[in-house]
Amino acid sequence: MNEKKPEWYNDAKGGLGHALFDEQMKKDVIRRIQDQQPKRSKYGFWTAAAIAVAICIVAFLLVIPSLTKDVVPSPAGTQTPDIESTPPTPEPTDTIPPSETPIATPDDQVQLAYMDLANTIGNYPVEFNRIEANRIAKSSVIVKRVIEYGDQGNFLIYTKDEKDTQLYSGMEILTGGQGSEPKPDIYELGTVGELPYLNDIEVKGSNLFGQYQIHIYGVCGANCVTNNWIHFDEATPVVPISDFRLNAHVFEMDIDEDGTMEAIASESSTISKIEIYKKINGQIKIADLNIALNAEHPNSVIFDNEKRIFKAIFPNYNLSYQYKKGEDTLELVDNSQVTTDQDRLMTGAVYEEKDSIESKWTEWKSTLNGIRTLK
Amino acid sequence: MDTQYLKHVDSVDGSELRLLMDQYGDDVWKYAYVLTKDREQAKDIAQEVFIKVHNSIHFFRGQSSLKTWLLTITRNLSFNYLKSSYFRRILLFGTVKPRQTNPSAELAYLGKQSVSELWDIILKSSDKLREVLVLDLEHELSVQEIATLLNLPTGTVKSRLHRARKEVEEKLKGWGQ
Repeated sequence: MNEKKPEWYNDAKGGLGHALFDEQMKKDVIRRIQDQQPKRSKYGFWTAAAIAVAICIVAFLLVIPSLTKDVVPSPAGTQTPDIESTPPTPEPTDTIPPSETPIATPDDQVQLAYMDLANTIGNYPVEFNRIEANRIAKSSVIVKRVIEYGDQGNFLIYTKDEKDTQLYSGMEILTGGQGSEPKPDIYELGTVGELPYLNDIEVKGSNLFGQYQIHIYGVCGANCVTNNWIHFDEATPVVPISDFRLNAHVFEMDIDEDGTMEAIASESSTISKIEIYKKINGQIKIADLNIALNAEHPNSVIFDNEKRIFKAIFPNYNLSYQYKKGEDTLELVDNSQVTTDQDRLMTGAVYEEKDSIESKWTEWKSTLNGIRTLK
Repeated sequence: MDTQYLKHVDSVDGSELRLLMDQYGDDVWKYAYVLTKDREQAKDIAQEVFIKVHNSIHFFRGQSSLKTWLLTITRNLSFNYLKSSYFRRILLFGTVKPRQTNPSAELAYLGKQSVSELWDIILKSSDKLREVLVLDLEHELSVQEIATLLNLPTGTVKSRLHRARKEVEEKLKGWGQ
């Protein structure tokens, strides 16, 4: 922003005070961390012991074969040089220039490491704390849109002030069973994007993580979306509960074909990032595919939801992977290394000197799109 | 303290953590306070942030500055607190007790209000405007850093910042009349 900062900034800055995070607070942090450490070192010891045992077993297995070979030492003075051990003189060959960018041999399979969400706070656009919806008076909000949702009641999309552009979603409370009249209160479910995108809001059923949920989708900007999944617990009947919210484009899919739906999130800013959220032993965990495929910034990972392919994009080549059925493993399915060298055109194309690089690139893309359409 | 090397480490020791707290402790506390308006909760959140830093530094990729990363964690923890408070408890509004300073000439022109009253205006702004304003004013983040932290387009950040400044200035002018 080129706008000059107002002068009152100088007066306001620091106005909340200094040394607010005082010495006692710092000592408390250190003490709490030290209190955690005895448990960590205990587990660390057992982990190290297990690794040492494993190494000993492997070493033992490697040593056994060599112990079975009987080598008779030759008498002194009888050893003769092994002529055949002299390496032959290499024949001259054409020099093959190395490729400008060496491409690492890709792994055929990549094991995914699912992480606890609690350990990733701040790194991903996800919230996973449990929220029980609060009741508010319908009269206190300005309803902008009503979304009917079968017999379970309507969803109201509203603002809280005439000047406000922040949209919220709320669920009507029925007086009796399904199809009955709504009460004057609603359950507030949370924010759902901005007013200009009122008509982009969607409410639909979902079976994410193997549980019946209602998925509320909203748009908050050019590249900004909100997703909120709500469900109901027997312990708190009628009250909508949310324990998973995602501010990224998402595909719900049973990617590992184990019968339970996962959430595949796609973020795009300077690069494209893909994460998979999966419920494991009752906990939602996350796998970062950019990390798994060594495709972190400035590289990208994209997801083709129709083909169920994860594509890691590097400067001079792409690698495509598919989720292995029933396992948390990605399999390399297409080692397509498409070069984008400025001095050469796409494989299979004929370069005519009159053609510009750009026109050939456009032509190639059109051809590719045509092939995809036919499929 | 040069912090870029932290994107390559798996852990921080006590002395490194202390240096981080010395350098960023106030920033984290202030941001937590602006979001929660609760001094005691801001204190708890700020401590929690650095405990998480100690446990999770290996997740710092260096794609944003360390300050932005810390403030992102602060924001998430603050919102977790706010949401649980919103739904289950009545949130007590903490009063601002900023230090007193001599107002600038512009401030005098706008109404000769004290710094505490200026912060009173800022803290009473709507959540979205207050957040971008404080990140710009107090934490001196760039528009891009604010956009990354809040997961917003830069255009939206600029727009909210402009509105926030206008709103504060309108209120200051209103006092001067």
